Amino acid sequence: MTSDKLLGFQTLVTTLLYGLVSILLFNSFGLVFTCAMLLIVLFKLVIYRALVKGPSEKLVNLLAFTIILVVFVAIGFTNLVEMFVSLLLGACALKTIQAKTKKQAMSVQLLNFFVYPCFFIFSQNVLSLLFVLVLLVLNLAQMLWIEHGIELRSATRQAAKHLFLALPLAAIMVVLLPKVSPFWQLPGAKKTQTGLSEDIDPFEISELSRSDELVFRAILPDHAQMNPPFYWRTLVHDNYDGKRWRVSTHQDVPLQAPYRAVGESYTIIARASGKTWLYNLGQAKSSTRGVNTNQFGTLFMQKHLSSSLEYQVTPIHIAGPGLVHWQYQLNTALPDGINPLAKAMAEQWDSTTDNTADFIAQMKQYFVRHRFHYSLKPPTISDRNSIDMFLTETREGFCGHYAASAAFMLRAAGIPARLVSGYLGGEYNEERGYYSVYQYDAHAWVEYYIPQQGWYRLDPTAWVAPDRLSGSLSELTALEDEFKDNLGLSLMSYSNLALVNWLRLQIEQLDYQWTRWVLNFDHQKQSKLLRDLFGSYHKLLPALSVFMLLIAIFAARFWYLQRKQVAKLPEPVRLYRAICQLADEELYKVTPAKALLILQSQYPNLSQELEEFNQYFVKSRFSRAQLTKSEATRMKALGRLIIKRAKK
Amino acid sequence: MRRDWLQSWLADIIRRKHSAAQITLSHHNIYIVPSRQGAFFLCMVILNFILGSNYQNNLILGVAYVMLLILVLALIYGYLNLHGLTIQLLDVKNNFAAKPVEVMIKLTSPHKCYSLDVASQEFDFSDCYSHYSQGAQVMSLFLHPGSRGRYRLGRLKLSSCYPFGLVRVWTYLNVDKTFCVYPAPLPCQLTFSEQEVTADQGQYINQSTQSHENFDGLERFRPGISKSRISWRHFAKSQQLLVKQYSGDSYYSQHTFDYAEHDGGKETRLSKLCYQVLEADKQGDEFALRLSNAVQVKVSRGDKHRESCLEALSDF
Repeated sequence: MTSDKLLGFQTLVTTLLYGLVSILLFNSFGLVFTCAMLLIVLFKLVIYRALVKGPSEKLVNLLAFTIILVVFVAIGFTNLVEMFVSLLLGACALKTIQAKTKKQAMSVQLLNFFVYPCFFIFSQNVLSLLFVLVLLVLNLAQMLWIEHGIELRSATRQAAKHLFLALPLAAIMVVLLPKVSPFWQLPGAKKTQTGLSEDIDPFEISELSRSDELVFRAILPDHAQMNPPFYWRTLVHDNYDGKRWRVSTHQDVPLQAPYRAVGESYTIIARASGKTWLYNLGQAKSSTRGVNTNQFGTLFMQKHLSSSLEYQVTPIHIAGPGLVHWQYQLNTALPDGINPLAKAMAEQWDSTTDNTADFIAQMKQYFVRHRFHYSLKPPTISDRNSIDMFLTETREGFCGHYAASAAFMLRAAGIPARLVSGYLGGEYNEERGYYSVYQYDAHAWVEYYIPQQGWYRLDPTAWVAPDRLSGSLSELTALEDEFKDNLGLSLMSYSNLALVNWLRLQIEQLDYQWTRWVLNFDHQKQSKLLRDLFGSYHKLLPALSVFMLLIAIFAARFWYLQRKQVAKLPEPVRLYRAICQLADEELYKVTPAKALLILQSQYPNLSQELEEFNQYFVKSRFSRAQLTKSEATRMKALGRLIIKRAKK
Repeated sequence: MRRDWLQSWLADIIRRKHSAAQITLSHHNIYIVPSRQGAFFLCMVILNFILGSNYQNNLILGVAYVMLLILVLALIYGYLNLHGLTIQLLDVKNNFAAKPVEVMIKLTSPHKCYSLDVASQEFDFSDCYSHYSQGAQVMSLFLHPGSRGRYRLGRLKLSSCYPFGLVRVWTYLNVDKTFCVYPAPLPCQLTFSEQEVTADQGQYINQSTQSHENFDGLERFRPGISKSRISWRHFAKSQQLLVKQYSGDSYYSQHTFDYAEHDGGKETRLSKLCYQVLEADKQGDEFALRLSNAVQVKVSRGDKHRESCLEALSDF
């Protein structure tokens, strides 16, 4: 291959890797940009195959302009990180098309050391780490290839050797070197897939799209009195417009009222969601920086949750002044003229009962008597009086249907009520003792208000599907088929096979440890670890020890490599030199025969052995025939014997 | 002012340390710094560090540390790449003007040596860049010194940017050796000073020693006999160096090439003299060279004589 062709091939490899990266980040970049990237890859491939000529400067500029336009239109300024990374990726891909010289190709390779780690902004699991490591090894190998013309396979081997030598040391550095707290606010990557939404209108959904993606993990203290069902409150919807239950306008407003702590703290490790809301049981506050409580007692963050977050939660009781007038208005507001049947029913129950508990009992009775049916694939209801239709005709739905209907009827009877969405249950890991909550655990329920007492939880879904309360949805046998149908192809859908389930749980556990100890190894955890390791010297010693360790390891490595170079003298020569050292005079420059004479005169009692040794030495060094194995051992023994006797 | 002083001081140190016909590279004569690409690489490390600590992303931070360590490893491996290498200047081959001067260097390496780049710091040169495997090898560097004259070889720089092009490792070889650039031969008539011929012996004037009618036999090669008379055919067959003898050889023609005989500029005259010397040597003639009263080369023949004549032409 000519050097031009070789360079073309090298840059083609880089372009293909860019294509792969953009396919893997499809969820973040979207269809348009990924297609644009694939077109660039195709273009490069066509150029490489010499089907078309390389582009002119003008064409490359035009392409660059097009890429910028595509990024602005398809990704836009609202997703700053995605925009930034995709621009970088596009620019690098165009550079590989344009690169003609070794220097240009090298500059792309060097820039890759910034481009590839950007992958971690979007995904941080074990597989991503492996993927990026492979990319880095390939990148180093390509540098060896371009710069030194070392063939790719041996270059890869060399590069891998370098990287894996550096890897454990880098891990130690991450653990021990003091962390710098963030000094710039950088925008985080946004993610859209979530089981919750800010507006709930269950009647328009025919099929609940569910995923087995993890939402968060919770580590509850063993001895605390925390028993299922676990209702993880997340969003409060108190704004009903006759169709949708909208999220409260006070969702992101910090709590003003006084509160007191009422229980033991627990830990939640939330996955990146790209949203501001968090998860907790009941009412809670958090000591973790950046996590706030709102007036409903749910947690939220100031900025979007763009990477995994571990936070501490303490249950609290908010001692508010009760429901003030506007709050009462808001929580009983119903638009006029919709769902007349439901309204009539509620008013009738209200007139026959004299407290809220009895009213709810009436409502429950209605649902039980008419054999409502829990389903993940209910028929859609587009009628204006959707709740009437549901209550009297379809009688089939999931949590959203039941919660929305119950809240409507509560409000119709003048009882303040609101919808709460969050997650229900969680899969318990017995070995490590934590709960995993997945997107398919998303749930909606109702909260109603009793004067002088406060808000109470009501889950009308439980009347219809009582199994749903305990454990995760995945453990609900009655709905197994429907549930798995919705999940599509994933390990979870084969969890009835023992081996698959075991594998799934192992991966789950690995991911738990990974998130806990690698991704969320923050300043707090680090200082705790350092204090444990170094005691009172934890401020200075860790950094110092890293440098000492690095120096020691590099020195050891250096010494080892140098030693290897020297130790290549053949055995006979080493023995010969050792014997020559025995002489009083310098034997460096004389022939072996002369050296023999001198030695013999010095050690007359060893003259025979010396003579024999010399024969072997001359044979091994100066004749074409090699020493046989027995001769070699004999020579070695002779040499040692001579040295030993001479020293006496 | 200060810069000059620094440079001359550095040059002095290098001259003292690296002036030898042969040096073995070790820690006191290998220099090593990150290259420009290495500096760019370091910028990427800093960028990753900023990104990693601001996103509180341990993985990006880890990559930054890995890269830093790779840079340190590159320094070590770059050093070890040249360490133990023995460099010996074998020969500098004089050549005619406008032709490259070959510098032969013997490299003895205890291990594989990647991407060794040899450069002259005084003259233009052709790129000489290659990998060397374990053992002894001879490599050639071609210089393009330009016009006729005698030059000092000066400083050679041996460098490598292995591994990854992130570091620059180099050393110098400062050899106190000179080489000549002969004048380019300019074809002219093989004139000679008639006077001297008639006065001295009166021999053959135009003799074609190459003609095979006069071939007399072969005799063993002795040092000093022109190599152009070696019978390469016999050498190929029997590995014996034999010299062709011609019957006319008993009467070699004898020339004196005189600077004053030619017309034209100085360089033209020297070029013509060069041609004559080469032609006469090819024919096995005896000849003398007279450049001025002060500079003369006595009548003789053979390789050594030719060389001294050509060197005299270069020096003149």
